[in-house]
Amino acid sequence: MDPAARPLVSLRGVSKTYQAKKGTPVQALTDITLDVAEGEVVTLVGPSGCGKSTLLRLLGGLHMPTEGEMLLAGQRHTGPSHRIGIVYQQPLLLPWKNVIENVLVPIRVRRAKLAPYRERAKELLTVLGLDSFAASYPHQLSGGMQQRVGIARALIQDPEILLMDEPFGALDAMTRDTLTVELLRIHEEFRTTIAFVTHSIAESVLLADRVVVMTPRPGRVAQVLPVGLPRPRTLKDVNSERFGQYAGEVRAILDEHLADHTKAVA
Amino acid sequence: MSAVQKQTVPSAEAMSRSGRGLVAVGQLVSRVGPFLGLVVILLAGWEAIVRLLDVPRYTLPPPMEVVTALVNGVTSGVLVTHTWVTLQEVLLGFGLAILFATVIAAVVTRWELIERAFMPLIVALQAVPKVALAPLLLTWFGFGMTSKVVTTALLAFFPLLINLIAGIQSADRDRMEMFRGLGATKWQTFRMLQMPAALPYFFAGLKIALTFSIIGAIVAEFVGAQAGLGYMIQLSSTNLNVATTFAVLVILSAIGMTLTSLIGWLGAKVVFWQGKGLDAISGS
Ligand SMILES: Nc1ncnc2c1ncn2[C@@H]1O[C@H](COP(=O)(O)OP(=O)(O)OP(=O)(O)O)[C@@H](O)[C@H]1O
Ligand SMILES: [Mg+2]
Repeated sequence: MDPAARPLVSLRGVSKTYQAKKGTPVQALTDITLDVAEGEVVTLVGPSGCGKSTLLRLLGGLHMPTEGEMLLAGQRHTGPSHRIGIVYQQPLLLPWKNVIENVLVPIRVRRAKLAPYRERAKELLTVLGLDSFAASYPHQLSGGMQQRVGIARALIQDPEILLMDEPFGALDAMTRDTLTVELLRIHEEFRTTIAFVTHSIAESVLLADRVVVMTPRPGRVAQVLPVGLPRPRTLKDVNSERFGQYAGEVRAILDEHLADHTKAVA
Repeated sequence: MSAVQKQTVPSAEAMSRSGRGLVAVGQLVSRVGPFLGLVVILLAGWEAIVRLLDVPRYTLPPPMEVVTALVNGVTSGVLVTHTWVTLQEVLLGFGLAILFATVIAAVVTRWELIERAFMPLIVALQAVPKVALAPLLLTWFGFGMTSKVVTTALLAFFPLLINLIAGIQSADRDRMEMFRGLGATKWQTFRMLQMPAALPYFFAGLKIALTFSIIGAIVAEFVGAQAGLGYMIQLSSTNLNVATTFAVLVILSAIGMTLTSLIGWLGAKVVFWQGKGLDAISGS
């Protein structure tokens, strides 16, 4: 991380315990300390149930940590904010609104003037290759196109940070690659800070400035691995030797903690 | 040159138009043909049974007599007047039910405390056979139209309310969370997400409620009325004028079918996205 860059997001000893209505409380995250610099892409990998979505929900202000402190641009982060854009695993479009209206939903919620954002929405749709679908309805689009609309909706407010929770997880491999490349391009263009959750080690390395590897539940940060691959990156980088080394390292860290976990359970 | 064009262009257009018209007629025939055929067979069977078995006309009049009674009733204006009375009761009651059900569903789903207080009551009231209240409503609201409108509204209200509540609550957790992430107020979430998500349920409820409305109006007229189709049914069957009774039944089913298809048509227009392979909007 560039030491001159101030952290856009800071997590200081953050823990999250879900208080279930019935049964025992679930400790999802333990003592997470993490800084995300402005313009940086951080990917989160870890076994299922280790609290990646929880961490993203905390960053999005959807949940509050049970312990610890969260700062957004130096200020206490206490709830949802238009400075944060979220892309979910499902596109979660509103089927009764056409593409451009879906992109404008955050603006309507904020009760801001629509006209300037309408232009912005059109620009974003062009960037995402959807310019001719502005008036289409979600059911007329493929899954990949719907997720692009989801991305445009997250970008419409020019967020300082983009949170993405396995945004391409529901898509087929080819669409997934296309969108990953597109995301790289969007990052080149807007330099948005991105926190990206994925199950794919390749995806995590290709996108990241730093890969945050998490341990099985309760989730901790196992290791943070800086990825020194030059940008702009393309899918071709996946075949390079250095890429293979990074991916191997991530795999090794994951395996090590998974092994620990299995020993502990057994 | 231009004259030729002026001649040929419209005639070609007219030809293709009439061609399309023929195709449309053909489609219509193949769609409703089987049904019309069945109706003719049933009517012929009815006529045959009445004649062969010599059924007295105060038990079962032949279909032609029903048609005559219908035509006479309409031309004399008697059936028209009574139809109008019942139609008003149905539409007013239906409208009131929509109004109340919408407001109450919105309030009940808005505050959890109110939901917890009112849901058991709503479920309990729903279990009451509402038609059983018709005599009571008659004593409260008199022999005029009011008691009929109230009975109609009461019957239509519950299926609508239940559907609306289910519909509003059908907005999935993920989209609710997305709205929360946008910093939406409860009211914005309701207006922009939950209400549109409830529309398919609303239209399904409307269809059920319509059937109940018509039942409500007729039963209320049975209990005590001076006009309306229910009143006509009672009057004509006491007078052994069974042909008129049947004529009224024909009108009632025509009203029911017309309004149901109107709702179906409107529903398809409004809820155009329904059943089109999206990631689920409802939690189920
Ligand atoms: N709202 C909730 N209430 C109670 N427990 C929860 C809730 N959300 C998550 N959990 C629990 O917290 C733990 C972490 O869940 P989370 O969804 O953050 O994991 P994840 O890393 O995103 O998993 P996956 O890779 O499968 O998406 C899990 O054990 C889960 O059961
Ligand atoms: Mg998750």
